[in-house]
Amino acid sequence: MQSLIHVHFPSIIPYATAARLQESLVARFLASKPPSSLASPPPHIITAEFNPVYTSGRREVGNVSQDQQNFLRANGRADFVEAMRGGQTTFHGPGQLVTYPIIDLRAHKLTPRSYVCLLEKGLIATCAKYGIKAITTENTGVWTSQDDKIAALGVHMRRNITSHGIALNINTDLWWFDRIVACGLEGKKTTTFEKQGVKGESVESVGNAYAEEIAERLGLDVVERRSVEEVEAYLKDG
Amino acid sequence: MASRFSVARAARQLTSSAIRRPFAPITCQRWQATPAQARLFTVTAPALEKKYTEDHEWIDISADGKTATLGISDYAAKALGDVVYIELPEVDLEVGAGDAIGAVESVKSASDILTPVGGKVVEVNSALEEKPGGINKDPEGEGWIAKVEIDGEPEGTLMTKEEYTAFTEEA
Repeated sequence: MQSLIHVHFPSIIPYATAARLQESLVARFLASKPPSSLASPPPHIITAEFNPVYTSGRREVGNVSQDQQNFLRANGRADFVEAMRGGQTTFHGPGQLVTYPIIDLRAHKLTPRSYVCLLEKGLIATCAKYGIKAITTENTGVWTSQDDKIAALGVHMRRNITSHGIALNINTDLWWFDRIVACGLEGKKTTTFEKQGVKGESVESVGNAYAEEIAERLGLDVVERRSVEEVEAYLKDG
Repeated sequence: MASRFSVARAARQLTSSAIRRPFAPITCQRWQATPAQARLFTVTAPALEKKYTEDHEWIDISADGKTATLGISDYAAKALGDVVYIELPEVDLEVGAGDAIGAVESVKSASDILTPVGGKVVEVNSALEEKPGGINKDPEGEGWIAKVEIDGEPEGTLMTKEEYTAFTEEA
């Protein structure tokens, strides 16, 4: 029985809180690479909901001017963070499901490209579960039409260990997206579950559904829920 | 230029959080590791063959053993798909074996490129900044990423072309 360990942050947290857990997990995976005799950790998936934060992608690191950062911070209402993931600037905030799968691609016989595809298929299946027809277009991410994007994607890999992941909008305040050209795509809009007519769903329940979809696509038998504290204890004990 | 500064920062960020091998006084070790051997014959160094890491980088050490050219393998370039951005290291950046010297980004995934050998970055393939797609065309030739003046021995598993092909096929 192989499980996908699902860690959900139960309240709205700062971006940095999830980033820390993610980094510790990645470090633990890297530490178990040969010639180490440490056992490889099981695949993990983190789900969370953040306080308002704009994050830039790797190719923008150092290129977002102070003026732009000030604008993004919206008088202190949002944070700004440079992330090491692929993709460009996006927004995370309340009402949005952020999911970080931490897995070893080699253990699952995946290439970076097939992994991105797996994340997208999982998103489409999750949307379908809630009656939303979603598609992929020539642009990455998952869309409800050619112009309306419901989920964004940006991942990082080091020695085949994945981090970062997807952001799926449930009832995000779209004002945050109207202020930016999300993911560098002019003329495209962002949409949410709510805007698609699916109201009252929590980030947590959609997160559970997405974890199930990812587990199935990774060929794992079961999703095992663990608390943040349990995972931290596991990391501490090696 | 900004992107070059950023890689040093990226490397710092990553190495601070990722696992570092314990710091060892490299200079001292090297003195011990290289006992003065009286050579009775001078031999021509065998042509050093290109080697591959398990993380799909290649390393080609010059005949004099002083510099290493680094890049990503054909297999990696294909697995990544169309590369849209390449982060190159800063010239003069000092790197340790296993450190990130940059990243390749495709379909919204950024993959770190690690160096199997420590040393100083002496040259980077700036043409890739303009045309990142060049790495898809000829990853093991024109699409090289950086040249490093070697300091110390390569670390980790290094495979010959044949061993590497077998490694990628079993994946």
